[in-house]
Amino acid sequence: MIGLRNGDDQPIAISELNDRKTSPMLPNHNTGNDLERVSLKRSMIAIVVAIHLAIVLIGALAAQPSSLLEQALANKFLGYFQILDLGQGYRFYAPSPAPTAIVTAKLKIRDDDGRIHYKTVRIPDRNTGPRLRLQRQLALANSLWTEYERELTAPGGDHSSHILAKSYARHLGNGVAGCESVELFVHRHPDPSALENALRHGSKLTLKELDTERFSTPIESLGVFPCD
Amino acid sequence: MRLIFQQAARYPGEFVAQQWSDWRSFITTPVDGTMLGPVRLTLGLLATWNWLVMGLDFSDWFGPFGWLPKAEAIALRRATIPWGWSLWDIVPQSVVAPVYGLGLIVILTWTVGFCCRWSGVITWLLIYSTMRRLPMMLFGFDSILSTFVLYLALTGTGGESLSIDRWLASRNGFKPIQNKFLRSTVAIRLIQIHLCVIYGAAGLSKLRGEPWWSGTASFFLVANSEFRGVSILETLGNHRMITALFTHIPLWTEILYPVLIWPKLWRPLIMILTVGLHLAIGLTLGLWEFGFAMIAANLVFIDGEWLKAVLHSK
Repeated sequence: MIGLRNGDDQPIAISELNDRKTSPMLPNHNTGNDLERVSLKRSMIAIVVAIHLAIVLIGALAAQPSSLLEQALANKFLGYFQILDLGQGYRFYAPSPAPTAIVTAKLKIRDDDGRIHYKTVRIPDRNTGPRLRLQRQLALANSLWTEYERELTAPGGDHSSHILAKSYARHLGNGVAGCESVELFVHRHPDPSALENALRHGSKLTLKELDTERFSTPIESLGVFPCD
Repeated sequence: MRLIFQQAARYPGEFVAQQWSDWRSFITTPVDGTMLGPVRLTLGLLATWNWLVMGLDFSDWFGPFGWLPKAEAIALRRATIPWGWSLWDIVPQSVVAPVYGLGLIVILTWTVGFCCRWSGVITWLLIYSTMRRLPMMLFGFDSILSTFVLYLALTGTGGESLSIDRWLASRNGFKPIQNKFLRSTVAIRLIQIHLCVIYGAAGLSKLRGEPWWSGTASFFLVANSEFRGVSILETLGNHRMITALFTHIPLWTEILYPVLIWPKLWRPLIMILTVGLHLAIGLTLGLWEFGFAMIAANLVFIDGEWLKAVLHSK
C-alpha cells in the first residue's frame, strides 16, 4: 500500500484508538480532541454502513413477488441502486429453474443472380468457446426474450419499440452481401411442463431426447426486420 | 408491579443502546485484513479474463454495427435505468479500441495490486460502465463482480497482501505488527453481510418453488442442455434420491448461510458446503466465473491471523 504512512492512511489513523493502545510500534499520546474525532468518525462509518446495507436488503426484498411496502421502500432508493448497480433480488433459479431462451435468426439473402436463399443463425451457438462467450450469448438470447415478454404484457400494448430486436437484426444482417431482411424467432428450452410430465411418468431422459421439439416451447416470431 | 413497568419502559432504550454499541463495535473494531489480498487477486483475474474474452468479439460488442450500438444502448438505458450511466457514452467510436486497451492495463494493475486505491476505483468504473453499455449481455457474474469490486474500491482496500503495494511498502520499511486497519475491516464487513443477503435471498426465494420442495430442482437444472456442462442427467434421472439430495443440500446451505456462517464452529462446514455448491454449479452448468467470484468473496470469512499462524507454524 503505497503511501500508507501518509496522512489519514497512517496506521495510527486507520487502526484508530484500539491500535494506539495495543500496538507497541506506536506512541500513546492521544489528546481529548483526538479521542472525540476518532470516536465520531467510527460512529459515522457505522451509520453509513448500516444505512447502505439496509438499502441493499430492501433491494433484495423488493424483487417480485413483494409487498407494496417493500416496493415503495425500494422505489425511494432507485437512484442509489442504479448509480451503483445494486438492488438485485438474487433470486437465482427461483421459484424454480427456468428454461433458457433460444433465438433463431433467419436471414433472407438475394444473391447476384436474383435468387433468394436463407441462412439461419442460432443464439447461443453451442460450439462457442470459451465458456464465458457462451454465457454471453445465452444472456443475449435471454435479454431478447425478456424484451419480447415485457412488450407483450406492457400496459397499453406497446409492442413497437423492439430496441433489442431491431438492433440484433441489424447486427446479424450487417456485412452479409445481399441480405434483405432478418426474421427473429424465439423459443425456450427445456419446457418445464414437458419435463414435469416426463418425470411423472418415470421416463429416462437423455440430452439428445431433450433437444427434440417435444421439450421446447412453441417457436414465436418477433417480426421481420430490414437489413439496413 | 411498578418495577415491572419500570423495566419494560427501560427496555426499548437499553435495546437500542446495546444494539448500537454492538453494531458500532462490529463494524469498526479492526480485524485482520490479510484475506482481502486473495479476494482482490481472484476478482482481478476474473475481471481480466472477462475483459479479454470480451475482446474476442470486440466489434460485436463495441462496434458501430454491434449487437447494441451506443445510441441504442443509451436509449434503452434511459427507458429502463434512468439513473444509470456509462463512461463509454463519452468515448468517441474512433478511440474505443485504445480505451479498451488502457482499460485492460488498469485492470491488470489492480489485479497485481499496484496503486490499489486508484486502480480499484478505475477498475470498478470500467466494469460498471461496460455493464451499462452492454446491458443485454449480463448475467449473475457481472453484478457479483461489480458489487465486490465496488466494496474494495470504495474502501481503498485489496492491497493488504499478495500485492505490489505491500511489497513496495515493506521495502520502504513499513512493517506493521498487525494487518488491522479500519478500512479493511469495513470492506470485510460489507462483503460478509452482502454475502449473507445474497445467499439468504437466493435460498428463501426458492421456497416458493415446488421443485425445491419435491427434490427435483437439480434435475431441472441439469436437464438444460444449453449450459453444456458435465452431464449428470442420466445419473440424476435414474436415482431420485441423489436428485433430492443435490436439491436439498444447496437449498438449505443457502438458507442457513446467513445464520451459521457466523459461529466459528459452524463456519468451516458452511464454507465447505458453499464452495462445493459453487464448484458443482461450475461443473454442471458451466458457470465457473460466477462460482469463482463467489468463492473469492467467501474468503473474507477466513481469519487472516489464523491463516498466517497456520502457515508460519510449518
